[in-house]
Amino acid sequence: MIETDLAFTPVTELVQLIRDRKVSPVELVRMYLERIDRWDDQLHAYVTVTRDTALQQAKEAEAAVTRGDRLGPLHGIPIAVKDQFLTKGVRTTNGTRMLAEFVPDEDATAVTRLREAGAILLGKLNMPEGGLLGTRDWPYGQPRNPWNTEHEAGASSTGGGIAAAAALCAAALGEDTGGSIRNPASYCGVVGMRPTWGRASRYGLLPIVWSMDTAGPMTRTVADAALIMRTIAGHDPKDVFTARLPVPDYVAGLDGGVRGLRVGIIREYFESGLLDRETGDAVRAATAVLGRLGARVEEVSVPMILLAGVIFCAIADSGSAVQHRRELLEEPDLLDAGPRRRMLAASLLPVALYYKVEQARNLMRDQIRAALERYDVLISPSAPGPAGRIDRAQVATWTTEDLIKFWQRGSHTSPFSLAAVPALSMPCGYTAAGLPIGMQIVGRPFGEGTVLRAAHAYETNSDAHTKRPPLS
Amino acid sequence: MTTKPLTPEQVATLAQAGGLPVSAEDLPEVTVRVNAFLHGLAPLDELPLDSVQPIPALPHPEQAE
Repeated sequence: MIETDLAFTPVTELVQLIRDRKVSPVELVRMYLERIDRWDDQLHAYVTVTRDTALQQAKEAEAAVTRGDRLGPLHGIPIAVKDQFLTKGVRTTNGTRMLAEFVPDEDATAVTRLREAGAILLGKLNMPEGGLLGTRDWPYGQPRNPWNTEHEAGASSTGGGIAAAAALCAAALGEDTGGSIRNPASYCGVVGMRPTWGRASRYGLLPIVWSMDTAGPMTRTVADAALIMRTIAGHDPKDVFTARLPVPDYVAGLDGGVRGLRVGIIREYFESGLLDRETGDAVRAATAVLGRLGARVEEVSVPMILLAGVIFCAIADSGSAVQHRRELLEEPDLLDAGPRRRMLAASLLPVALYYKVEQARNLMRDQIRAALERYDVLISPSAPGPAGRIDRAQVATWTTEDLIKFWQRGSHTSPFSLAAVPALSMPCGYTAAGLPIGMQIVGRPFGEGTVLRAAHAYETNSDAHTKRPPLS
Repeated sequence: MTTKPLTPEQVATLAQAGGLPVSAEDLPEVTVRVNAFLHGLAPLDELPLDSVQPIPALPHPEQAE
């Protein structure tokens, strides 16, 4: 197998290759480190590469294989983690200069579970400051999309999208508040899943919005997402809001097919005037594939859905302003201008308006869950178009109308964060310019298995996931 | 919520009253953002919110499929 093929090999296959002693964890780690050395000066997926410890862990993993030890489900798999998760002995910046030297003395629970499953931490991944979009001067390098480096890579699990797409790791762990996994997954052409809030522990995750933050996988295949989801899901005594429900075997459930599955395509997105033609066509074509496989596909209305972006930003910016209040008051210049201005503006909103925003959030939840009573999954574009150019992402000169339109565009992922339901983005095509297009599949609370099954059915009957970015 | 956009001077006064350090450099964009929130959230006034509780929309395990 040539090196590039090995780098892009799904985790589910790498696990077996390691067990069969056809590939060693040391070989894998060295290969991904070489790829990081080769590409990451341009892409800036990583904030920190844990070169020495990764190699040491790989040697230990290799020894365990040689000894015939019992191996975990991710034994020897090099994984990279968003720099929002605490990692014991490895600096955790949260994308800010203020935490440039912060080295936690414990792991986030999701990281602990990956390590216990045998994964090797390859490094920490780039993200906008504090997880808020709008960072202008990226402290750890301007991230670039591996499909076209003039384009952005999405946010805020930015490095996860890049690293998974360009095979700078076997898989990544991201965090999603309002679309932070699904947006970069969509822009970079990989699979990214936000689970139900309460399905995976938030312990050790530097917070953005307590009632929406979730940990989830960013991978090149749906099966890999299922494998990582199975590893990180489940009750955690350190996060009292994690559900005590048993965790299904998401991998074993992938092959159930979609015959008879009720699929609702959310109409408002296609009537909004925001959607790029190529994106709309690709998502429609993808749902037609599900229809040919036996799903019952219909249109469904969620009337409030395009208000989600502004509702989400009012909550997220206010929440972040509280999280970063000390810095806002005492050291505002240490914050990047973009997030700082977002938080300052949110701090000036009337309390009565915020109360109304939370009421509206619940009304939207009710509309989404009503749709999910009639349909097993909902489908939408993950974003209204492909990744924009990096210079277009600058917002300093935007008007009020520009901002409102930007929030409406963010209404593709944020409704399902507000409703606390699981949602997955996966590639379903490419624009004529060669940029990935993402389709989003949304499920009922704790319905991750159904979402993954539908995604797997589409993936195995399409080829969008087989393309590789030119910069890899 | 409001029909007339706030001026930078009004936003600066609000910030001062709240003890927020909005610099002269930040003020124009903060003003745009406050006005965008007020304008963008105005449609909420048309929603039937009277009977909706303002609690986080969290799932409960019994809602599992």
